[in-house]
Amino acid sequence: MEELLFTLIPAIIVLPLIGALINMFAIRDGRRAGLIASAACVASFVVGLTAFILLAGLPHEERTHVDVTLWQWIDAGPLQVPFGFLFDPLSAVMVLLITGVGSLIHVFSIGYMAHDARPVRYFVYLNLFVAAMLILVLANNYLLLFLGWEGVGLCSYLLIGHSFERKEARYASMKAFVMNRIGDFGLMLAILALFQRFGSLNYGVIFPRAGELVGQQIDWVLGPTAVASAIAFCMLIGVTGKSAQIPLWTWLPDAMAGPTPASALIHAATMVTSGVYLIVRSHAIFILTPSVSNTTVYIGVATAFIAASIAIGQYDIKRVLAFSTVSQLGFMVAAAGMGAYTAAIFHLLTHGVFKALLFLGAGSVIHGAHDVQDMRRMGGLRTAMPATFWTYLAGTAALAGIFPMAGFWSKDEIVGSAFHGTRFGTYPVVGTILIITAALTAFYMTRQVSLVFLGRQRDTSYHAHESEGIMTIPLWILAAGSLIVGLINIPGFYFLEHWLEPVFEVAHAVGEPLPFSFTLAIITVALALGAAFIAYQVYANRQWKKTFRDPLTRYLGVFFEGFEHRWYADDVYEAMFVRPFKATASFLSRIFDPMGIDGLVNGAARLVGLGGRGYRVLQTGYIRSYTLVFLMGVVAVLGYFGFATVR
Amino acid sequence: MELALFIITALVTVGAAVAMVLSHNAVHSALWLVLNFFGVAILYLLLNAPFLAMVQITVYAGAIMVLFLFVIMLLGSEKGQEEVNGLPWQTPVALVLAVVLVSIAGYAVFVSPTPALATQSGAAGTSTLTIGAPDEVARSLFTTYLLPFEITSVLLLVALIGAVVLTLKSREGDRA
Amino acid sequence: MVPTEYYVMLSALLFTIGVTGVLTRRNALVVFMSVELMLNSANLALVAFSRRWNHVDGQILTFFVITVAAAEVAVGLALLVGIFRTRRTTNVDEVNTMRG
Repeated sequence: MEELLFTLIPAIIVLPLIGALINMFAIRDGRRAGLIASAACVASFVVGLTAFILLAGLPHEERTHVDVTLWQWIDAGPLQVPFGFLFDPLSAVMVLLITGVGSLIHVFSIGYMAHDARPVRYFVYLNLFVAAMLILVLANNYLLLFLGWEGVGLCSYLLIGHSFERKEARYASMKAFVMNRIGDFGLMLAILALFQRFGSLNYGVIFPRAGELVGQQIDWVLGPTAVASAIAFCMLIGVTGKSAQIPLWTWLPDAMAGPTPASALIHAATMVTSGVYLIVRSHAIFILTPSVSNTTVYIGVATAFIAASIAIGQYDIKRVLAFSTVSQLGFMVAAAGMGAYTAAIFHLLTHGVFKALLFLGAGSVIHGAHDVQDMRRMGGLRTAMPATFWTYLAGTAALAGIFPMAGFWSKDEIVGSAFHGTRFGTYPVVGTILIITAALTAFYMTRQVSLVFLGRQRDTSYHAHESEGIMTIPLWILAAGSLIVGLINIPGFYFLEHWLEPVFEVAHAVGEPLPFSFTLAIITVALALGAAFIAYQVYANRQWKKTFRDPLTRYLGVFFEGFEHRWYADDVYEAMFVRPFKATASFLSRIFDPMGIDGLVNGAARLVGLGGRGYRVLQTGYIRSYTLVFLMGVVAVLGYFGFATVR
Repeated sequence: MELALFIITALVTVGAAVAMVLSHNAVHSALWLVLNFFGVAILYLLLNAPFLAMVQITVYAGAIMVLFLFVIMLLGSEKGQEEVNGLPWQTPVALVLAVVLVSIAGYAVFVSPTPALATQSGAAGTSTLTIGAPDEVARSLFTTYLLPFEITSVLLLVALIGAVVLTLKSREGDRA
Repeated sequence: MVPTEYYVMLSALLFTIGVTGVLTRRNALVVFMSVELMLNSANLALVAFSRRWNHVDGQILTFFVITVAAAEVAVGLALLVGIFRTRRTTNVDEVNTMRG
């Protein structure tokens, strides 16, 4: 059994890689490339599912020991890094999410990318991305995780810039890459610090010994700091970059310049969740440092609220979903910071399913509406694309947390953890903000559904049509999924909680299952429904004027403008970082470079020239003088050996 | 007896060498050098190297010095050729360096002898008479050092051709 | 038996005399002869050590040195003849076209 498991795990990663290679070198036809890429991803999912079942068959305590080292990756003195994979309950569920949702998105893409200029390239990127993401979650050490981490960053860059003819796509891809690099730097520092403390990067070495960090301190400019806090904080920087949290969150909304299915895969279901995965994976370190864990909570909850408020003021169908993703990631990060690791992973999984559904639904709308993305030009698409509408409605309900959809269970668990308390205490304020955010979520999603599907079509210059079966079938599957996936950690059974227990046992981080609170559930659902009702009233059956003005401007005024302009975060960053950077760059290129660097280089050359002119005097051309110098050297060497070393 | 012979030969050798460097006539220099070579050959005999002593006389004192004398007389440069002295301060510096060099050697040999120089003991002293015999040399030369030996023959051939080419070319230049 | 040290010292003396000749004399032929003297002194040391260690290798090496010296003299003198043909001199100080 174990033998089989050991051969299956590398295959999970290799299959999408093979798909990418075949498409890269052998395939020219877009549809065929899509079929191959989808087949590779589905095969990977099947293998992953088999491995998952095998893992479930193992005894409880052996489930964290499925560790396959393929070869020694880096062998440099004390730095020993294996190219090895750890297939434990945590990475197993991640694999299922990545390959499962990934497969559906691949299939959807076949239809969506049918008219694209470079579909083959797109599918190569997509498969590469899946492989990199699988490396990230399957790695058994931090360096391999970092390889996957950078790999998904690269694929994200490539996919955002897929239609590089458009200027905004180019800028968005660069922005995503640069912002991610800032975060990656933090993660890199954390990895270096871990190596310095433990002499290894393997999870199996670090986590059991993480307790050694208690009481260790380092002195630096800001005074003594606990080592565990420093490491966790550096990781947190990485998390804010990858999972689009404050302050490194502005790249994700712009990343919507990429193809919509790619957004569904990367910027909703998988890559952006890797930050949450990192925290959960490194829980052994995070539980040692309440301060950084609390910082994580505050970052998460602030991001959740702010992003949700911005989502209210957006008109681009994908932008709304992008900010919604940022907001939901805030939920997960907050949960992970609280120490409610199972809740974080639970929400990660459910969100991965229903947000993929929403993004694909949005993709279907854009596809059917001939690349219209502005919701002000839509309306009434319900009749034109019923399949998309119903599945979208299911996704909306799931995201808004309406019983019995998936989002209800997972979001409720996070909010419940905040009120009920975790190892770090209770978070009543955080919980309250999260409930309000959940209501905002219901509001902006209902607003979106009303604007897109309800009412009458405002811009009649195009004829919307329903997408073909290859696109709607994944939507139906995901819609069913967003109903079912909530059951994996349903109160009373807590399958996921028990499944993940072995992972958290190492650092004694197992929490007891949360008692289900009916009061809380009723409050959240009531608020969500109320918010949805208001949004429906405001947006659905409304006569729009030619100049579209959001009705909320009247009630919220300047606040709504803030929503609309994303709280001016980009402008602040522009003024604080981009402009000073550009000014410095221009100073360097116009003044420092020609005078400083060139001066240095030319000066060095001139110095050598002068030296040569002086040295010429020594070149008499007389052989005898050369011989004399030679003899001086001989005498010096002999003298050294004769007097210095003999004794 | 042996020591006396050594001292006399050594004095002759050094004297001949000094005279070679000092004499103004190149032909005289060559002849002093021949004397020096003969002295060295005698020292070889004292060192149980009869074969080398013979080689020394035939190759050095014979062939090489004859070549020298031939070239000196061919070029007519016995005398002079010393008018141009580009480096007047060279001689004193060279002398100082020479003194330093000899002192270093003296120090290394007599004051702080290395193990390699330590007075003979053990292995040395016994059956020293046989090692320099021609058959001994030949055996070593044609077994252990066969390859270097053959390469040396190639080297000599190259030198031969080189010498011919160097002189032949300039003659063609003259004709043109 | 004469101690090896004496031979080595004699060899050093001859070598130094040869060096002095190379450095002070300007007639290329005498310079050449001085080089031969230096080679000879090295040979002497080699043979002395050969006796010291009761091993024939030192003599073999001397044999090779003599051979190489012969080749060197042949080529060197050919070069001297060549230089004399073009510059009409054997004074090394007059051959200084390499002056910087």
